[in-house]
Amino acid sequence: MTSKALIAASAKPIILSLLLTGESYGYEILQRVRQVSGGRLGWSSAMLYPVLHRLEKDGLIRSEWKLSEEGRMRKYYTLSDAGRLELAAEKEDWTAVTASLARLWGRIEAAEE
Amino acid sequence: MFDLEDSIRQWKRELAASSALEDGYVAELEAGLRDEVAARVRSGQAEEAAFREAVAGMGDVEAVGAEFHKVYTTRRSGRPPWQAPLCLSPLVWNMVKVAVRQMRRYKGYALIHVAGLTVGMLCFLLITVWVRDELSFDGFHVHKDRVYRVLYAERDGGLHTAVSYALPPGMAAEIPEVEASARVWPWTGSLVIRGDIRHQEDAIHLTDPDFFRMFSFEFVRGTPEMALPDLHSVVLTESAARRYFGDDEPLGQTLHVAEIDEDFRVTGVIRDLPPNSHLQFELVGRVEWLGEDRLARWEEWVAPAYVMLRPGASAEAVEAKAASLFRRELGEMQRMISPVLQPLPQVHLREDGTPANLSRVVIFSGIALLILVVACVNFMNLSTMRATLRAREVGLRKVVGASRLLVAAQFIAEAMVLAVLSMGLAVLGGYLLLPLVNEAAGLSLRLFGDDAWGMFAILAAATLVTGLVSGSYPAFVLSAFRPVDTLRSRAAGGRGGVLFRKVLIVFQLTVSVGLLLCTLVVARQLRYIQDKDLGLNRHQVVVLFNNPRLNRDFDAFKAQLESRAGIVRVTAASQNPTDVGTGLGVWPEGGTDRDQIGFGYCDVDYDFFETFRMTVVRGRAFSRAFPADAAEGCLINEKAAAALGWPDPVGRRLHFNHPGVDPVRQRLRVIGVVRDFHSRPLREAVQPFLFRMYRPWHSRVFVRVRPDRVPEALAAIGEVFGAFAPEYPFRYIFLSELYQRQYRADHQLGLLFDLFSLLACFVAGLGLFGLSAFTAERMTKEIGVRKACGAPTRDIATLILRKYAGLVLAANLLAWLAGYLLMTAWLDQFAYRVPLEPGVFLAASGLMVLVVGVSVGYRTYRAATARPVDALRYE
Repeated sequence: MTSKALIAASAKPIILSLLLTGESYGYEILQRVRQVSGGRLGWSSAMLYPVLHRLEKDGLIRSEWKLSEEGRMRKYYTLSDAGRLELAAEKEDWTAVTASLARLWGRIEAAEE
Repeated sequence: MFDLEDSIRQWKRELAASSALEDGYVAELEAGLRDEVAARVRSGQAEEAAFREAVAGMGDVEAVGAEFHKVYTTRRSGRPPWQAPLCLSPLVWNMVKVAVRQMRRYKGYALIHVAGLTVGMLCFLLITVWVRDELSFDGFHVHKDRVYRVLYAERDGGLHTAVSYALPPGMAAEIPEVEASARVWPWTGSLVIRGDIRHQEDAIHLTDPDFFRMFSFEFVRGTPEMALPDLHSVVLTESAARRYFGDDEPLGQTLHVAEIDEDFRVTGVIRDLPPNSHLQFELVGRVEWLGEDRLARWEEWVAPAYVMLRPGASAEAVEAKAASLFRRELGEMQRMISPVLQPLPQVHLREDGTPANLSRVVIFSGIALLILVVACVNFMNLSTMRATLRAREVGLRKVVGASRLLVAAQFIAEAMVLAVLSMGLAVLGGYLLLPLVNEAAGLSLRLFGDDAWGMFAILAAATLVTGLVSGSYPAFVLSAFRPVDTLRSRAAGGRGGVLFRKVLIVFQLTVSVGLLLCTLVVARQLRYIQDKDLGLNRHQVVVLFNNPRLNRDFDAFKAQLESRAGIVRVTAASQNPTDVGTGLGVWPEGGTDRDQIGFGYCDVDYDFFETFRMTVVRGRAFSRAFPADAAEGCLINEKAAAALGWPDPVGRRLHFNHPGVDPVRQRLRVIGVVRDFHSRPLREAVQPFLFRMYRPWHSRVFVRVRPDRVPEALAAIGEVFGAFAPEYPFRYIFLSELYQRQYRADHQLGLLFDLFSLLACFVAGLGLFGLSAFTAERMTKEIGVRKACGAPTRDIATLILRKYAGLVLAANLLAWLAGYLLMTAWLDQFAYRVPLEPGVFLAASGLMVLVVGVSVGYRTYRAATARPVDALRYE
């Protein structure tokens, strides 16, 4: 299971990335996270909604209540311009982190061989 | 059959019941829930199972709410308001919240509550700070439990601080329990010179080398053991050292003391003395400069002395041994006097042998407690009066299951919240007020002082006790309500409660009137002291400090000064005539020293009586026309003539004994009698008095100046002084100012009484204001009916005011009694005092009635003039 701190830290870039492809809503975001992570990131709605609110408060995403295809009211979230910029920055940071880890582990594996 | 819509509605109701979630959040959670249920159903799950699992996956409602709250709160901890802080149990937190809501809802009453408590606590705080300062005197000495001041006790209980200087070394040599002794002679002062730097030092003490072993003054340079190795060594305080040496190393340097024309080597520097040390000096030298014979004499009482006992030694045993030593040296002549030991921590409280400081501490501690109690009483009064307003709340709490204890706890918690708030405000007020008090009373008090935790503990305890005391009675009354009565709106407030409230109000008013009375009496006595005809004229007299140079050429100095404009008369004396500290034993010629009578005495110069405008009722004053005056002439006062039993003393001869005077010169001839005058503070009766002429002992020069030319005269004095004694700094003070200083403690007392009676009246006024507001409110209907039936405004006002008349009367009578007893005791310490006239009592009561009028009047007027229709529509 992924640690709480890591889930919290990665929530922002993951949500912003998901919204990059277009608007989405709570349940869909949960499902797509589960798909993308192969079920390894198990987010609960109790965790997701407050994070969405925080991102909206920070101006990175916008929300809108709309009638869904099923005929129910749903709150849809879209990425804002600020969110796009933020995502670019996050992407850079995370790439740097993953790249360093990959190199480190590559060296370890090379040494093990 | 499972109904999804129904279940979701049910689920939403549960969410809405939690204070943690707002409607918007619930809607969003609902949308998500529906999405998940739909997805689960699509994947083949039954609707009911899908719903249950989806709800379970959502997590704890409170936790979700808390997460939402964190997003929007500006609170650093992120703690949502519906959760209690970690340090408090939720029940206590709820009580605090209810208390705060009550305050918000009834702002006016809360203000009165808080203002009253704050003022009470402020008084308590200020007095506590002062009392702690008084009690902290000399507490910093490591050996404080072993060091004692040696006093002489008379058989009637009177104590003398001046002792024979042969006694302390005698005790150290002969009594094994005495480890060390130090005589401390407060010198009048001297000019001290180092190169071009010259200062007139007033605080030079002379003492024995053991002094620094007994008293823990902190050394910055040198050591206590090596502090005063020889006759020409001196120890300075840091600021004195800075005066002469700046940043240079003072140790080993030389200072010249002009008075005795000797050089001294600096052997130590100590930190400046803390203000709470009863010993206050800047330079210390060896006591041997007093002269061998003075130190060896048993008959002369010189100045204070201290001894340090060995650990575990009993003071009583040492006292007994000292007494037998004393008797062995002085024989039967001194059987009326015996030496006693006073523990160091008590020295300040009984500074001059009398417990004057101690009784001030006791009086003010009492006042502090009284005012705090008045504030608590105020609080109880207002709270119980408003009980009816809370009755329904109490009823409801009980109906839903609150125990009496829990209800009581709620009210105590409310009092506690107010007490904490008030104490916070009082501490703030203390910070602002303390510098002003220090300024006005000449004190150097600090709010928390050295022992901040101790002070904090006292304040915390005071807050706790105040909260408990002021909350307990309302809690007791309110928690006793029967729910069924209160919910039927037949609100309570029994007869017993009314009586108790009246007692409380009378108590409050009594304290206020009593304090007002004390204030007025103290003020009148101070006024009396100010205006009292002392038998000598102290106004427009400039006092100069004499010095050897001036004394040598005194006649020329005087002649030159008297020729200048604005100067009326110049004379000199050994003492300030309004505060003569020296005394003699006197007996008429033909008698023996067994017949001696205690006289005050002063050495004076020509023109002394003219300068002070004293009346010579018989004979004449000292005159140059009679050369014998200087050697054997003397004047006495009327009291002395009476004491000696001489209807016409002029020409008669008398003897006096003074160990420092040549026996040949101890025989005098009376040349005149002066009208009685006050040579001592007005606490003491006029004593028999003797004036003689002896120039070498003159320490002060007195110059009478013309009231209309004071600046000119002062300039002239400075100029002539500079011409005669250029190496001495020119310093002067007006005699009237010196006179004021004699009553400094009394002025402080007066000031504090002013302040505290003002505050007490304020608190009592607040209480009455609240009371009248409440009474007016409760009587609204009655007033309405009466007015509708034609009662005039005047009758209505009388109706309300009559409620207070009895209380005010009772309070005044009690206060008069208490004030009379207290003030008689205070005035008793003055031999000359104002009478306690009925006018003072009436004035104090008048002031109180004024306060009552102002605080009660407004609401009464409003109630009495209200339109009856409004009154009847009310409720």
